[in-house]
Amino acid sequence: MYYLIILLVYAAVDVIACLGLSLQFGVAGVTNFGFMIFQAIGAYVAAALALPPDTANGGFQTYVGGFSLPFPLPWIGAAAAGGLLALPFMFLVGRRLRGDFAAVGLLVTAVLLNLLATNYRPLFNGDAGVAVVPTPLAPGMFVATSAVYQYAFAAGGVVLAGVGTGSSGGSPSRRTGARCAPCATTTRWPTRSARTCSRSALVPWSSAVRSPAYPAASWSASSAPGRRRNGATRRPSCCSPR
Amino acid sequence: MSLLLASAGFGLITSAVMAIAAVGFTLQFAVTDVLNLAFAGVMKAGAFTAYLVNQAGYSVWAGLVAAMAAGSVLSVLLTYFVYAPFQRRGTAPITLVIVSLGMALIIEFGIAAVAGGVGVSYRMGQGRTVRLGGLVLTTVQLTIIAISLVVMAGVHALLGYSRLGKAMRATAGDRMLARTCGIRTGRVIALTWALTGALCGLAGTVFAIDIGSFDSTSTDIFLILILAAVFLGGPGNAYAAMLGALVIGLATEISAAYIQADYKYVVAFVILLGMLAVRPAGLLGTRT
Repeated sequence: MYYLIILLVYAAVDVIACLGLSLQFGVAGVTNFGFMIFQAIGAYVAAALALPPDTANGGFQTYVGGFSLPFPLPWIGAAAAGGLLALPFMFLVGRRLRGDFAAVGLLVTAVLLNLLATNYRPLFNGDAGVAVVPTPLAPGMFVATSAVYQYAFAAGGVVLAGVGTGSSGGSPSRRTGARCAPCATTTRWPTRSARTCSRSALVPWSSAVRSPAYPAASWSASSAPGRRRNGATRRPSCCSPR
Repeated sequence: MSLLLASAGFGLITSAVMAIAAVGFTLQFAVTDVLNLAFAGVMKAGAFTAYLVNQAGYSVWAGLVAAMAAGSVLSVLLTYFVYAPFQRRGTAPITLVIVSLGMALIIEFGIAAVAGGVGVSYRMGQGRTVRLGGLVLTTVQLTIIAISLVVMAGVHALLGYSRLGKAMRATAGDRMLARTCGIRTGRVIALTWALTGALCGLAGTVFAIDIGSFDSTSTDIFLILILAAVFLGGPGNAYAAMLGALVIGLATEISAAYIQADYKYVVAFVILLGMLAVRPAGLLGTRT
């Protein structure tokens, strides 16, 4: 049963990750083979925000950050980090690269960042990874090692995933994305307007937190796309008569 | 200076191996329109076929020929039983990439299931050491470079002077137009799979010879390097793939000597990303 509940936790995590990927790949037409690094940065940032400074626990691991922030701030930070990471990708995919080029560019970027993270130990403890990340809500509400905690975590993950699935149909990003779909799927290369939507879709669906000690996910569905620099809301330009 | 030359020597060998694979990959991609991520899987299958032949008591060079045959047969089987049925159903190119990724995993874990997860190596000597200026290479390494040069010359002759090569270029340019001009594109594509499969098997074996010990996961990062070489030069162009392989191969090995060996691929990938940002179609590519 414990095994089953762990599977359920991972399934819920994957559902949330797939929601983001689905929006990028299925709706906006961005083939993001680098999706794993969005998930990875979420896990790393959440860990860096939740952990105490690396001198704690006998200083057996090294990492940047260590702010001991309470839940849910690490998760919010993780989602924000995923969104920020999307910005350079937006430039790469939205402006310069298309189709297969974008897929290869993102794949290579993901492998590159993976190599950096696993080889540069001062950043996030190299390939050993960051351990003993505080479990959310553990001391106050649950005992982290109990089955009740795992049940609650799985239930929370499933609810989060369900809310994400439901709300994505009505969120501004989904509406914008849905309007992109015809032009993204009928042309082999996204047109200019479809690429505009690709950029907007890449940002809000940011990252899911996933680490052995932190088997949960978070994402930012509420950060609506389409805010121009001057603050005016962008009209969904896709599929509109040109 | 001697460090630079020594690392350049390693770079030349890596480039030679990579060039065979990159040319095969780019021809396959251009003519068949499939970004075949199972390419590395076919390389492994070729390397392990050569290993079986080698273990049976034959020379590794005989194994090389067997690997080419195995790569060719496996590639044709892949397209006949997997990719072609999907293409007939009108599957989008990017979906085929996912299918090829699935096939890559099936081949990798299939080999791991049969061969086990342990590293193996060919029974062969490295030959005597040869000094060329500041370069120090073994005769086996020189043979790898010679094989690569012969393959490059062969590909040049094929594409430039043979009917099949011209048909391949026509099919890559515009399949429908090629068909209306009387080119049997189906046959050209099947032959391309066989030919590039042979190159893939060859590349897998020389890669295994080069690294010494290999297992079912050895070519995984090499696939990313092949992709980097192909897209650095400009996909679909065999000469661009050769150039890309030379740049990536030299960049990885020379940076390994001067920075840290752990970061040698990082340098190669940074070069590719910088290139994609400046010239998205690649060094020799033209944007369509």
